[in-house]
Amino acid sequence: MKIKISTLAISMIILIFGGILISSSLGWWKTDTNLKQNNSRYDGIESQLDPAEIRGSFSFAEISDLFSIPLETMAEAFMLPDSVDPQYFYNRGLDGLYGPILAEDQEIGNSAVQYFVALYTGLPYQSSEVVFLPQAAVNILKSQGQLTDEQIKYLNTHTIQIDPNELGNALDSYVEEEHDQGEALVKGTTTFYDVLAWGVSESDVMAVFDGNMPPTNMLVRDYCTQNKLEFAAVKIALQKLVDAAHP
Amino acid sequence: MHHKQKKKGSIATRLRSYIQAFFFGLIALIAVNHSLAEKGEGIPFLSNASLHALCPFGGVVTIYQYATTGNFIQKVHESSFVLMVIAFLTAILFGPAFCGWICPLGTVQEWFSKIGKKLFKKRYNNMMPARLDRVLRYLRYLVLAWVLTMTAVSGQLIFADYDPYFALFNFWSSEVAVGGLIVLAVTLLLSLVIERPWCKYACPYGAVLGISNLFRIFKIKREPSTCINCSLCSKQCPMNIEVENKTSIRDHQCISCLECTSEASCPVADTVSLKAGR
Repeated sequence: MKIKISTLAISMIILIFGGILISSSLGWWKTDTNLKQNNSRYDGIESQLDPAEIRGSFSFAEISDLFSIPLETMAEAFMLPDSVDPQYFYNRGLDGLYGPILAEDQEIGNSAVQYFVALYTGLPYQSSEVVFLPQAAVNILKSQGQLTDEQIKYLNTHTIQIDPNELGNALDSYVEEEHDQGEALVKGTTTFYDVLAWGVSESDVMAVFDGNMPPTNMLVRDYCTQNKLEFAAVKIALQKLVDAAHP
Repeated sequence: MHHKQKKKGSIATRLRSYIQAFFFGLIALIAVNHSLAEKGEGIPFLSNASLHALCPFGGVVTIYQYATTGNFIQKVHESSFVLMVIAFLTAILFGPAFCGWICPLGTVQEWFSKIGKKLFKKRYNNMMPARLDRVLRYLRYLVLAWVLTMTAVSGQLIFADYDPYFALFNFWSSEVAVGGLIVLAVTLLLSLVIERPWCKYACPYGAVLGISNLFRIFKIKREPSTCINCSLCSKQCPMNIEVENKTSIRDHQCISCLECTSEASCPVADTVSLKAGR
């Protein structure tokens, strides 16, 4: 059986676009990170709307879209400076924004967003770690009048007063940090390979995980989720090792 | 009786160029739209997918990650898997036609080769010492092994930092690595003296698809009884395959461009053609 050039050309077009069309109709064709398009990092979110599934790689726009929280409310709650577009602000940026101005035992990061979303929407949420929220976020939640006495009691002791001017100054370091590709900073997108590449020995990593060496190709966050470990605590432990090995 | 035929400029020979230009334009538009969409200014009705989502090689490199952790490598999406399957299907049927007809990096190398052909005439694509060329043709399998190993170990898209395809469609963005730009520049410069240098010597995806030449259903075949030994088929092959000395092309470097066939360069009808079976 012989085929012509034109037949091959038509076959290629049909196979490529036909394949894409069929996979689209089956829901397999997913090309971007839009929350509503079921990327694997959103597994579980759309079906259960679980705030605990929110990750550092989510933008405020995605969270706003999925949990029906106005984008302006998200920006106000986390006190984003006017120069930052909340549409393109990612949760992971909070560590860089708040890190320089918070005490060592305090953190406003992805967990804070999860907790804020849960309280704002009334969705169930359980966190094994201590979560702090900025005063602005607490004000928004209290003004809604949906908080239980227990939640108000918790927030009263876990609210952090933030000076907007101080935050504005921290923004400079945040921007620099985001653009520093060589940074040795443990975050949501860090794999164990990164940690080893930053000079931490395997035995030191194993010491953090009770003698187990996680797969090097795995995200630290995914490993924590799978093994029910608190990411924030693991992050701090690994960051100390990284800082020691990568001064 | 077999007729000599004039083919230059025929629709059949130009068809590949049109399809290559179409896919180049499509990918370029999507890449630009991706950058625009990040600023909130995307073009309506056009995909704004990232280039990683439209690369079938992304599917290949994430197989191990998916099998061991259940997750894709960062930046790789389901669409890469779908494209990988489609490309494999076309390869089983027609060999690496994806390389010869679709891949925009192959296309841009061919465009540069037109300049090279004008500059160097018959010396073009014949300057590489044969012995060195023979060895270098297997280099892409080493590149493939390195990419797969490093990706499996690190869980990251290691190749993106050196990928000339990504650099070609992202040279204006901060996402592109200097390594990718350097490899792209070297590739384009080499294209002025060698046809498709990236495909021949370094492309890991070409290495994967090239294996299909060993078992593809539709093969390029030469009919010795009607061949007039003019060598045009070999001279026309961008990958320097000696078609004139073979009855069936099983060379791992064939890209199924069909430039050697009787519809394109071979002057005798039904002598070099794409066919299944005997």
